[in-house]
Amino acid sequence: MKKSILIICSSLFLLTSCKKDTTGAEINLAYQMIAEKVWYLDYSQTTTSAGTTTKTYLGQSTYFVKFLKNLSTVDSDGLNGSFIVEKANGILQIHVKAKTVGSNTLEYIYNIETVGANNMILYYLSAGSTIKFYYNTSH
Amino acid sequence: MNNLKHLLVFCCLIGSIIVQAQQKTNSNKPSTASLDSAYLLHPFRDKVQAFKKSVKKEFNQVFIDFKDNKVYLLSGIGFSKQFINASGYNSSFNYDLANNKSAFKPGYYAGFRVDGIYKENHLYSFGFVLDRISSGTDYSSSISLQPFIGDFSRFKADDQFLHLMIAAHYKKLLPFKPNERSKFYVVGGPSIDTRLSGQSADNLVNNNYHRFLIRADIGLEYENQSFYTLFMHYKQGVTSFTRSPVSTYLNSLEIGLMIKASDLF
Repeated sequence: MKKSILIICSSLFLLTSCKKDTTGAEINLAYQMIAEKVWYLDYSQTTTSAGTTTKTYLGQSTYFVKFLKNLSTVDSDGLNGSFIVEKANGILQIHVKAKTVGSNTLEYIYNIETVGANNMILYYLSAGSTIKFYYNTSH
Repeated sequence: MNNLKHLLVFCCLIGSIIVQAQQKTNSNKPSTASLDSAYLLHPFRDKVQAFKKSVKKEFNQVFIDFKDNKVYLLSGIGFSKQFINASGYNSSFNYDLANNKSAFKPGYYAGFRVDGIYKENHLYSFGFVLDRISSGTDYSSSISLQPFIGDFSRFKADDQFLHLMIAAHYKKLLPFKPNERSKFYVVGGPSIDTRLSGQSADNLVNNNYHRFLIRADIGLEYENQSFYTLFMHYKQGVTSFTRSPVSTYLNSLEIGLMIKASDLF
């Protein structure tokens, strides 16, 4: 009887005490959110020590970028290449390696502030200012 | 018409003869396999028998005052909703709350319940139920992603669960008695839900949902002369279903029917 109780208790302990690695799950979810969609730039925002400036592109012909399931990407400027989602220093990032229309290689990384089914905010830091891009799937 | 009657009677007679013939064969000649089995060792079966005996002995010692136990089968529909406060929760994902349905959604459940009397005075019940929960979601906090318009949440509640629920109830017979056939009971007690289903991809990111959930249960039961019992229970979440800083309380309204297992089998 004691043996049975011990086995039951050990099973319960093992069942409840497992700690899962969640980084893989986070990256997979980010792929699900981003891929197979066309993302249109609705706003861009520049924050410096002097203040924040917002530009809107709503109702205008605007920049767009397409991310596909096969990890390829193409944008309205003619950049064509591949992308991956990765996590560095606790921040999710989109890492793009592309070629311009003139076949010049271009590589850039955007940090993901937040991504959803229809909204995405990307940003990067440059010379003390933060530049944010607000993307939407409907335009 | 007469011919049809004769045919039916004939079929019944033939059937009864066949049944008798089969019974005689079975009772007179034990199979070779069963004869062999009597002389063979069965270590696994013996262990199971010993375990059963020991459990029964322990059960009788511990539950000496729990008498008149009757097993009931129960089933019904449950309307559930999660009340969520996700302020302080941070993740890289956002969920638009524009299409969120803040309503009690219907699910279903089935299981069995043991009803009895403790120390010949206190009515009780122990229930074991498989519960397929479909849940609405009510978010009490939201975030803004200006200049985007609308309310968003960084946490997305799952809305489908499969639970194993174990409940203990104290029952009290109400003095209200419209006729001799009817009995009304008020019941109350705790229940422990074990989540058997996995989490959605959204919640695997931070492993948000707990495996166990404690809820308080209060309800009204109507028994119709031991033929069947209709019941309505309200379950209030006592512990949060999600890990801190998200607090989620799963509440349900359950309506169901219960019948004695011995009446069915």
